[in-house]
Amino acid sequence: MPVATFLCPKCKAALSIEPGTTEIASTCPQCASPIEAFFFPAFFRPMQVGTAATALADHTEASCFYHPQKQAMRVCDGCGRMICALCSIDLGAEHLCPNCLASGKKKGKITTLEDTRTRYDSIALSLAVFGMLFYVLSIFLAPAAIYISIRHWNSPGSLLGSSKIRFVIAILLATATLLFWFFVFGTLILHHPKT
Amino acid sequence: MAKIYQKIPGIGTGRGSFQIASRSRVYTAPDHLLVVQSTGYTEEYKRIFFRDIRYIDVRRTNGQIWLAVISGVPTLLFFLLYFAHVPGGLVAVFCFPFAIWFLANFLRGPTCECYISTNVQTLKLPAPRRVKKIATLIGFLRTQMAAFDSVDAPQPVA
Repeated sequence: MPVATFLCPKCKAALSIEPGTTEIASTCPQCASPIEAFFFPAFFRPMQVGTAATALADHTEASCFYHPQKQAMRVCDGCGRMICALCSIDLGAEHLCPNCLASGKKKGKITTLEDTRTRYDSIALSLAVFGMLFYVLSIFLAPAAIYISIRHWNSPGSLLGSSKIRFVIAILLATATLLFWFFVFGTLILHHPKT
Repeated sequence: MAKIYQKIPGIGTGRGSFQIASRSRVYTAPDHLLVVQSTGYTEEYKRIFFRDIRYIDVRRTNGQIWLAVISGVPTLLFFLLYFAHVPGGLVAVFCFPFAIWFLANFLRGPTCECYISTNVQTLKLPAPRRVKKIATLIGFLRTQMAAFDSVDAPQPVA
């Protein structure tokens, strides 16, 4: 196994790390700044390069769906098609063909590719609460909270797990606020002196 | 939907950052770490697969010293009030929270920043922020990686 190189975080001086080393706690020979690092097996593995597809040796071998002249190495976890090493894209534990990857990303079906999500439940709850705090604005904020809650009821929430409780509270608060306004306006209209 | 992300026990959450509008946390799934930066209304995710982690670089910071000053100076000042004939009970009420903060900071040990490195990126982890908790994170990662050591090499489909 070749000696791996670790760069000092401060001065970028190269330090040779013997294979099998799990951690170092020393000072940089060049800038004398303390270095504390923990190494994992990937540090000593050579950088992975793309695998070239292998040509079919004979007609009895399974061939790639996209490259009929190439040997199939995997089955796509998305569509079940046989794919060669070139077409196999590793995504965590899954192996997908380029088509499934593209369509999955477009439709938002592959959560592993998602790098941002909007918390509509938090937005709705905030609107409802702010509406109650700044009561004049609640005429606008309460309907907005109800609209967002209904519109995004089925939208995906946080990747960390979410429930509908914020939506429910937002709807209840906003409804209560609107009922209050109906009561206020109703009272004003009914008791308005007739001219 | 079953929750696949869990907090890593014993490393803290990364809360208490000086960033006001956002907070970061680190979670774990069976095969990767997830760093979540949240503004409360949006969440940004960064995934680091266990098999890609090359090293973790720990850089010690002066956070403990600054926190000791921030909590120690008020403790001392409020304590000195006792000698200015301020009732002891009143001094204790003001002094006690800062003293606890000072003591907790002392017991939690030196602060640090953790950088996790793969072949394509080096990412600052929001937690752990104390040197004492590094061993917990490293132990956890090594345990998780042991399960993924036997990565299946592609074989021809029969």
